[in-house]
Amino acid sequence: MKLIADKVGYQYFRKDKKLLFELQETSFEAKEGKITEIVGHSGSGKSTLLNICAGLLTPSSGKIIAGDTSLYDLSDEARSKFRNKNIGIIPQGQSVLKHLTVTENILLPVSMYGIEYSVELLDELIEKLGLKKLAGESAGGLSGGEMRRVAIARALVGKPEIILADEPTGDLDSDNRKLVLTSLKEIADAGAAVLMVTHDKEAEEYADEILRMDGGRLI
Amino acid sequence: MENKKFKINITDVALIVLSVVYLILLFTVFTPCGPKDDGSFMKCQWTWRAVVALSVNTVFLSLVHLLIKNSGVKIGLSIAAFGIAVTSALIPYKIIGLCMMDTMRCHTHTKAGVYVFSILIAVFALIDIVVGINKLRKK
Amino acid sequence: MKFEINLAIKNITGHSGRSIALILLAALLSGSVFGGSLIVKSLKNGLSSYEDRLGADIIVASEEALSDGKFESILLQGVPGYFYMDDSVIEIVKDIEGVEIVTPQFYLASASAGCCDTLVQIIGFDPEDDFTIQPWIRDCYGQTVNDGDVIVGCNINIPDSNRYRFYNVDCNVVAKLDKTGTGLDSAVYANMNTIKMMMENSEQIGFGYFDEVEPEHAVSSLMVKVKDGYSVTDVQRAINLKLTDAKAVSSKDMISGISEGLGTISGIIGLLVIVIWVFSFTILIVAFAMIVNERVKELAVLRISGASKKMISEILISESVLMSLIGGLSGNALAALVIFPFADSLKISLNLPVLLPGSLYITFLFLGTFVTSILVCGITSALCAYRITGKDTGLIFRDGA
Repeated sequence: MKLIADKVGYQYFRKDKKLLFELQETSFEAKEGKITEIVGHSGSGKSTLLNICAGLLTPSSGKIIAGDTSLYDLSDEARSKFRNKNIGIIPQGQSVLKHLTVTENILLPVSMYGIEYSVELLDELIEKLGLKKLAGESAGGLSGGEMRRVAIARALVGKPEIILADEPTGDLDSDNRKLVLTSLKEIADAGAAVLMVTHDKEAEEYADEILRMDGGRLI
Repeated sequence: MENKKFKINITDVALIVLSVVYLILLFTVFTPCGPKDDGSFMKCQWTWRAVVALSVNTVFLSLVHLLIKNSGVKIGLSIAAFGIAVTSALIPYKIIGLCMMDTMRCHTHTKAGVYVFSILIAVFALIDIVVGINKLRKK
Repeated sequence: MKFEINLAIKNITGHSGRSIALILLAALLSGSVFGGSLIVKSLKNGLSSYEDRLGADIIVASEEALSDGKFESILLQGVPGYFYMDDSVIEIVKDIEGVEIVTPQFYLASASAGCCDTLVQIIGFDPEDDFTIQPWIRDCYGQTVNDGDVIVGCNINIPDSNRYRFYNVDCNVVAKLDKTGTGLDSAVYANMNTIKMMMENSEQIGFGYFDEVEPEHAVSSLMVKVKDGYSVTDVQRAINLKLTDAKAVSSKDMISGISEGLGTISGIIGLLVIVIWVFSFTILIVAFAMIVNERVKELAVLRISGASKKMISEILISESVLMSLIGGLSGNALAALVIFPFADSLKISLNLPVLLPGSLYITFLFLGTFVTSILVCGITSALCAYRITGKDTGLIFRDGA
């Protein structure tokens, strides 16, 4: 499933109505089977653009089209369901529910709507991402790298056709970085459209297309 | 799992605190009626003595429950504590009984105290039994 | 089980410290209203039952009995007492204009040794003209109270033999009266013939109850009913003018002291309940707001996994409803556990009649306060959920990152 950003713009105001940040009209495509990378300095608008693509931040203008669906034409409920089924998101930082076990965290998207999932895929993800020994443990005791791997497994368990990853290799050691990037490459090779926001130079080697951002626009 | 860090549950604490407070109150607040003018005791005195004996047992059971780790033994102790609590409540109600008037001390203090603490101990023992059985099942 | 409820349960058990604090708060909210309302209702019931049981417009007794509180102690606390005056007062009172019926009552305290565990108040009435005790007896015993028969108040336990022995008079317990919440529950009732047998025996045994009055001419109090159209105060004043050693008081005056006490206690309880509610409600709102803010990232994880705003709200509301369900139930149960067994102690310590309401009222009160506390917690968390889901998840990551 292809992801298209069509003239997407966003303005972020402070409480006193003063314009704090502006994402200028941006258009691009993240194609199936490819890794599209957005690179740029901190504050250039990469994460804002990714959140808009995920259906989590309503743009001030423009459209996000995933497959044939214009995301922001849907109601919140329909958009959430669409995201659950079609978009896997790997957010920045630690994003696990610490009181749930590793397996419960990974299964969160599928258990949410009672979707049937492949046990083989779950076992494979757990095995490949090195989480086998931790599967039954509480996620609260995991290291930063382990939490990131749980987030990746969670994003992939429902076999989504679009993957959005925000700094997936941030604060990881080289072994973990390689593991994460290889996993994303494999998913793209399997046909998913992967959109990755990063400023990790090593990650650029895995990208099929690189978009650069600066000052709230693609250059 | 048994080798894990020694963990004290809410029910462990509740049972020992309740049973010790209960025993102390039996000797201070929940005392029965005094002797009659002729020096003889009324039947509430026997009720009180029986309840005290049972409550000493509950303190002992609760202490062992607090110190022991084995889940199966803990469940057994809680079942015993539950049974003793129910028996304790039945002593003033039916088994021995109390004095003739509801306004007498053994009714207003002893019976009331015995009911409140017996029910609380029984409830916590029951919670401990249910939680313990669930834990065993998960294992 | 539905995902929202399943996750809400995991959230509650996963954050036990936070959950226990909120459950305790909900228990306080529900239990305080249930307990407070139950006590106030029991006091009101006690007062109205006391009013009903007095049954007379005016009560005449010896000045000593009325001034040193002996009479009130019998009626309110059931503390056994005796006081007598000459029965010539009956005729004096009967002749006063405005008096419709006069009926005497006779109070005798049982001797503790021999018969009973403790002293018991024995009240004798004249079946011919009694209009205060007999209507009450009729509610639970439809037959005539014969010589040697006694009826016991609700607080007196009937022995297996069904017999009590007072001053060597073997009495047959024929019925137990309904609870009134007053001292009258601790008395034994007999007709005048039975009482006279006891009186004679007490004289023979050597009890000096009748030092100042001839036993056969002794009465303890008179219950007076005023004719329609006459003022109770005027009749009371007329009786007081005629009597020298005895005094007449109106039932209203006797009740007004109690109703003042009841008003004060109800006021204090009401104020306490309001203070507890204001505090708990404020703490609850602050606590929910703080918890939701603390959990913004956790909720954002759910959003990126596909949870809708509605689903997030449902999870938050389910959590608070479940916690208030446990809290409300345990708070009310604890309040009931303390109030029911200690109701008699409460009556003694407050020196007021206490009569617990019927089981239907208690059930409604239990459910009403329980549901209210669930609603309060549910609404509070719904407000917090509305605030948090109103914000774009993208902004949460942006602000929180």
